[in-house]
Amino acid sequence: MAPNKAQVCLELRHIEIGFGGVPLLKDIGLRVEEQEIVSIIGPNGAGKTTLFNVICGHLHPDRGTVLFRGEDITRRPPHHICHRGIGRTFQIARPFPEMTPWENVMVGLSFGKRGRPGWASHGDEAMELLAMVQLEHKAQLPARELTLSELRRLEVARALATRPDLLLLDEIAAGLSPQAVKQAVDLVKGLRSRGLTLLIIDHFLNLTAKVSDRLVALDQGEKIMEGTPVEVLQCPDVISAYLGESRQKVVKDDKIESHPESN
Amino acid sequence: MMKKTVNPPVLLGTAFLLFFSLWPLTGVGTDLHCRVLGFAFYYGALALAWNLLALTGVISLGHAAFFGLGAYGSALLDHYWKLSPCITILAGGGLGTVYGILWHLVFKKLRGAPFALATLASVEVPKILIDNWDGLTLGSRGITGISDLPSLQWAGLSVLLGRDPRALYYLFFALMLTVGWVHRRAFRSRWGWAIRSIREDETAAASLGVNVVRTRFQALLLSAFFTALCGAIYPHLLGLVEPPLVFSLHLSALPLVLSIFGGRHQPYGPILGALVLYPLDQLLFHSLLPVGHDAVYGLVVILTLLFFPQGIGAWLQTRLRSA
Repeated sequence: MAPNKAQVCLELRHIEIGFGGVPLLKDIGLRVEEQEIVSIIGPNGAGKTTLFNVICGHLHPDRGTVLFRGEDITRRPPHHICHRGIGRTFQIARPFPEMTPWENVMVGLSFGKRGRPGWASHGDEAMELLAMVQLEHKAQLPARELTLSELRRLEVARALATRPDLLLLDEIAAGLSPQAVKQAVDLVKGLRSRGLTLLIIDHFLNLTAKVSDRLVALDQGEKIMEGTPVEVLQCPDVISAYLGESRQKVVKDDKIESHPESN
Repeated sequence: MMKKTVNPPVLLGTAFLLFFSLWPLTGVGTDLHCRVLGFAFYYGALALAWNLLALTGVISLGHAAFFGLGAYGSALLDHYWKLSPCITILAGGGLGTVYGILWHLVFKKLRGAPFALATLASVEVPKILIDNWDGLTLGSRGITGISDLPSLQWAGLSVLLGRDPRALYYLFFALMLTVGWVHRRAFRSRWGWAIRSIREDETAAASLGVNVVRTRFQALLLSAFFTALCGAIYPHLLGLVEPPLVFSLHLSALPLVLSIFGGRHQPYGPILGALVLYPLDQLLFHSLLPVGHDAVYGLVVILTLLFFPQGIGAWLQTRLRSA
């Protein structure tokens, strides 16, 4: 548990969801306190992104409750959850490809939390956000021309533009070069200093040990371990979940996911 | 801060407005020219209305459903109660809008090709219904003897809207400008940003706070209403209506052709498409190819998609910019 923070930011109670009879999440419970950084780890298919989609309203759980600062937001539409103050990035970046990065961020500023009229005056704020993720030099190019690492950073800037209190980061460091991973670590540390609460999916453990207060390990839709990074990473169940995966899947996944950015 | 720079699009827009509002008064063109341009405005309005929905990222192949329901809405009110055309036309627009609500409820989850096919199929339902409900709609015989558009009385002058080509010209010009204004809002406004973000990635838009369902619903309702409004005027122009005339594939395809040709992602693309293609078809192709001139539309779509995938509007714009 993070020291001296008592207020609960996000709470999941008994979340269950299945698809075509296959359970994707089984009785997941989770508490994230204000200004805490919690990472979710686990092998592929563990249900990490599914959990994000449940929190953000893209998927409706079959059972269970999602509470944000005490308010029940289960089954609310995604834009409503954004207005409450939860922002997210997507594992596979989903930029608006024909818009510039500046315009991408402007959408977040105009429609996110407190994003009401006078949106034209947000222009400078959009540039500040792009500068924060070191994209100001690409602000006026079509977003489809950005590299993988730049798209990931655009995802973060755009999510921040909605002025979230809780930010969900889905694999922002996966598949990046060591240098880009370091940039991502610095970015997350910067976010923490802004007072944000962070929930991070980190399959490859790139960020986890360096920035998280707490780890939650998922495997096949179940929470198998929760605790400090050291506790969780040394837990035999977690190790065997990852090793079990290494025999079956890691080789294939490496081809797809962990190439340093080449194009 | 009072310094004003002359903005080329504003200049172009003003020139466009002045030219087309003054042109019929100069006496340069014949009645035929007036009529053809008037109908170019009419089909321009139809194309703009169609594009309002297309801007949210779905292609409809079934806007003839709205057109036909609008036409039958106004024709039936006229046939049974001889209501004023102003009322019948608005009511026709309303009937199309109701069908738009139905689309929204039933096609909510459909995108891409399934959406397009569902809209195409949705034209058949009202068409078959009207074709066979002889007691109410007179079935496939159609309705004849529908009143003309009203005459305008002003300062001792009386103009028959439906008969005078210049009056019709101005009526359709105003209609196109009205739909054009709404269409422009779908670009240059907060609502326009919502529409654009939905078109580019609806999941991402939702997670950034855009109300996807509501925005798309608004665009569909406006699209259906204006299409049905055009449809509702139609029987008053012809004096008759029958199902194959208004629930026709041609009427679903024409706005699509004009928009794609002119440029779907340009505020003025559909207008450009209508003002170029329709007069070209009526004045040139029609006399050259009296039988097969409709085939030209098909050819135009294919050529546009191959060589100007963004439409001639976008192509012209890049040409002008680099010049």
